[in-house]
Amino acid sequence: MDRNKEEILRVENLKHYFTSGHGKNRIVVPAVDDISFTINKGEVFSLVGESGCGKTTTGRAIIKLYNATGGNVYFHGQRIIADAKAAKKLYKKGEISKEEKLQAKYDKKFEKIVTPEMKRQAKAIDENSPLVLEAIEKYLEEISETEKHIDAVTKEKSDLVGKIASDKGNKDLKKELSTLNSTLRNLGRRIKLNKMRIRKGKKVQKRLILDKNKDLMRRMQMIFQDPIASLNPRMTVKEIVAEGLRIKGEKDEVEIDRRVKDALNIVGLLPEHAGRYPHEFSGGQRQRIGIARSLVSDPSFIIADEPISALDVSIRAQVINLLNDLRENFGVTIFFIAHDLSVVKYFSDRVAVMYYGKIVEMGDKDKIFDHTLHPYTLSLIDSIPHPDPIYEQKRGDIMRYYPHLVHDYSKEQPTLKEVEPDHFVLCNTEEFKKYKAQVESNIK
Amino acid sequence: MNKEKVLEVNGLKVSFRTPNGLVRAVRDVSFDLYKGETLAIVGESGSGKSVTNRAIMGILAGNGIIDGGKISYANQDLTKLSEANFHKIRGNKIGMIFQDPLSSLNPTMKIGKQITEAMLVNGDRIKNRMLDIYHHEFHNYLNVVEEIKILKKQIDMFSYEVKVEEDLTKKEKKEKIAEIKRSHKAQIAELKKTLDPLKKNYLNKRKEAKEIVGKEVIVVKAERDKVLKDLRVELNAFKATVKSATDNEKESLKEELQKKIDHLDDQIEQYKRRFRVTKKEAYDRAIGIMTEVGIGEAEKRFNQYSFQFSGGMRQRIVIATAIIADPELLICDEPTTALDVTIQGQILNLIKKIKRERDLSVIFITHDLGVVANIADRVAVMYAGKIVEYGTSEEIFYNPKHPYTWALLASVPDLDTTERLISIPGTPPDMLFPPKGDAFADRNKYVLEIDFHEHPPYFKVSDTHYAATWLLHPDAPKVEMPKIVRDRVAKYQSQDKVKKVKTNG
Repeated sequence: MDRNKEEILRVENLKHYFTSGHGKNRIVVPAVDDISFTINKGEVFSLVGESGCGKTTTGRAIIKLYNATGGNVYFHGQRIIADAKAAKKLYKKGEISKEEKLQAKYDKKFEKIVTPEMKRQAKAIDENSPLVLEAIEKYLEEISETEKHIDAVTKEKSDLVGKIASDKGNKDLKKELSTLNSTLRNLGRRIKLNKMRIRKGKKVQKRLILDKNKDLMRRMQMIFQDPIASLNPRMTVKEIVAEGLRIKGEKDEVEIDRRVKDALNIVGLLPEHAGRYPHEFSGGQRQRIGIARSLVSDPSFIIADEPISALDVSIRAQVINLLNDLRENFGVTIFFIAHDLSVVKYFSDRVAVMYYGKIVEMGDKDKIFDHTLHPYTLSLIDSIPHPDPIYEQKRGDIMRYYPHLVHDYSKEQPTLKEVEPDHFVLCNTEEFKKYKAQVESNIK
Repeated sequence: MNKEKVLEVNGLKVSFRTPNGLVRAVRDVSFDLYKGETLAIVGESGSGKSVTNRAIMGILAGNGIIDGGKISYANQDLTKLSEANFHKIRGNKIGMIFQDPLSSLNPTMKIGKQITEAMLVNGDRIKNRMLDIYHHEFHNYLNVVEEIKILKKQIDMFSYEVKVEEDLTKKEKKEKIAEIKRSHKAQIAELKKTLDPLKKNYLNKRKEAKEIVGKEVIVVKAERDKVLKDLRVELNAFKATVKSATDNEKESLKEELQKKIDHLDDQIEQYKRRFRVTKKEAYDRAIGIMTEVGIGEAEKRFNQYSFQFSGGMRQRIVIATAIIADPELLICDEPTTALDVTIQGQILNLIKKIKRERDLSVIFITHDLGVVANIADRVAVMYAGKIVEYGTSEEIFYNPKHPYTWALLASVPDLDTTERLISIPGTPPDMLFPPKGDAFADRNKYVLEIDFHEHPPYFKVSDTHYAATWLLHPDAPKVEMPKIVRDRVAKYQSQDKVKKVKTNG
């Protein structure tokens, strides 16, 4: 692994168990069973596997839609998921200090909790602290800029009024006038808002400090599989996309407008689409709305949960190209969950293959696809249909994976081991030797 | 190809009535299906591929109507067939497998019952024998009734279409509607005249059939009574000998007695089967079919519910229900879309195996080109209710001619793709207002001026390969297919050559 790369997400021993029933009937399904991986900044990391292997659960647990059963997840260096129960046990054994136990408890729900440290910082802020002064300066600058803008618009308006006086029947001019008026109104509002912000400078800064954790969590966004089910049919596109901003506390309508427009622009939708409802769009466009919604809060990390499997063939390429552009132009890191191996090979930098809650093979894309080691990955790659009739007609039965026949784990349980640089395989010592030999022969 | 034609679709048109007007889902589709071949229909959703096959199966939604065209199957036009006649074909002659195996199975019924249901429901052999005799007359009568029904429906449909049209004035609309009503009503009156003699004919024939079958039944029953009586007498005599026998002999005699009892039961069962399909018969057959489609421990599985099966197994059950009546034509509507890749391969192999063993003809609907390459002998590419290109699968994959086929091939990455994918811009046209010229013109990179005005005819590429694009016209500019597709074809062909050399060596 390239150690120079900046790490954006680290997952350590993440577990998610679904339970049902009580007492004798209690069933525990380990959907995600002790997986670890890291994702570097700017790369596309793919998680592949059959349906039911736990890949979607992994994504949802990371973004905290589910409460993970165990394990730690670090995002931008901050622990966002912590195992408080395990910490408590360790504390009782005396292996960790009380602070560490408390920290785990805080980290578990860190986006909802305001730590004493943050409270202290917020309390220390008064009218003369540098943060407040800086912010006020910024607001003042913005006000002066807006005033200049207003001047320009008023001038334009007076010109237009003159024109209208000479050409009374022209409807276009009147329309233009009304748009100018609305911009003026909006600009006026913006000045008012900034003035209020100056007046409440101290409070705003305090809020920023207290909301620090929430803001961090907002830098992680998700794109869902089904573009029809994931958009509220009663909200317009603008409302859907702007919702994240409003929850964040953005009150400036001009700013919201601008950012929604930007987001729609990036995903290839037109500004006039903002007023429409989701049912007026085709599948591909709906998925674009979903992507715009995740982009608007300026994320650094996007979890894309099978974003193309519900789309038509001709539309899939559009969405893949769009995601590719996002990565190249905005440096967004993408965690791509999929079952289509040819798309994964095309799109990602690193790949993890999952089988019944465990990662069986992980590493660089080329290593996984060219020097496949684990039999399950082999069977997955073998089952990809090729658009090549002669090849397809010749191929016989598809290789199938029977874990009990292939592996003998009676003596030693398998663990994820690094066979070659950035290529991990789930194996025990015996298999590890075999894989190692295979890798060496591959290199020759 | 001098093979026997199983199905012939000619100029099929299907529309759906909606509040906004008529949606023309299928516009002039024609194809033939030969015995023992697999025809794949490819296209994105909304291209009309499913509607075409639902029309063949006679299961269009209530607001759908066949505007024109013919579906010829076994010397019958399926578009004009009455529902009662369709019962003889649907399921028995044409089987269908649907996309989602979970929603096509009943969750409250054991799967064994679901597989045998059709056999048992249609299991009255006396009734079937009678139907066979008066089938011709009966169906002639029903077909005329159906035709009248269709004409009546068409009056509603066409006058509705006129009402929706915006260019006409009120008066013109009235005149047009009156014209439609007049012509259709004349046709209906004509048909109604023929109705009475047909009905009389059919009733006479039915009476005749009843007499014939009644006689046959009496003969069989007499035979049964005699045979069973003899057997029973023999059995009773044997029982008496067993009773009087010594202890040493008893053991061997008891075995023989059991054999005789079994034989009697067997005979009773055999005679029952001459009148109707018995449960035991259906069970035996279901177990056979379930083993054939690869469901292990069929006896145990017979009594389970559909939720106890995995996705792939469910699809196997659906296939079993489809082939239990020995159809000669199988329609598969995206049977693998809801399945995982690994399972998909198994199901495809299963369908291929069944096809080979039973010499089935298969229509396979899908949007996955990899699947098409795997299963199809011939391919038809559909777009906006029309077939834009058809040919053998080698021709379609190695020498595609239509820009839409190019776009489809270029929009899916394969394992070696590294360059940017070519996406098809825009969305399929609104079929409420089908475009005048080539429907693909708006999204086509290689569009010509004429595409917007006139729909291209089929240009012949080879004896089996046709494409509807003006690019093949002698006057059209020479256009090469996109690089990504060209590269891929070249790669495949070189790979195949290498493989051939390898197998030879």
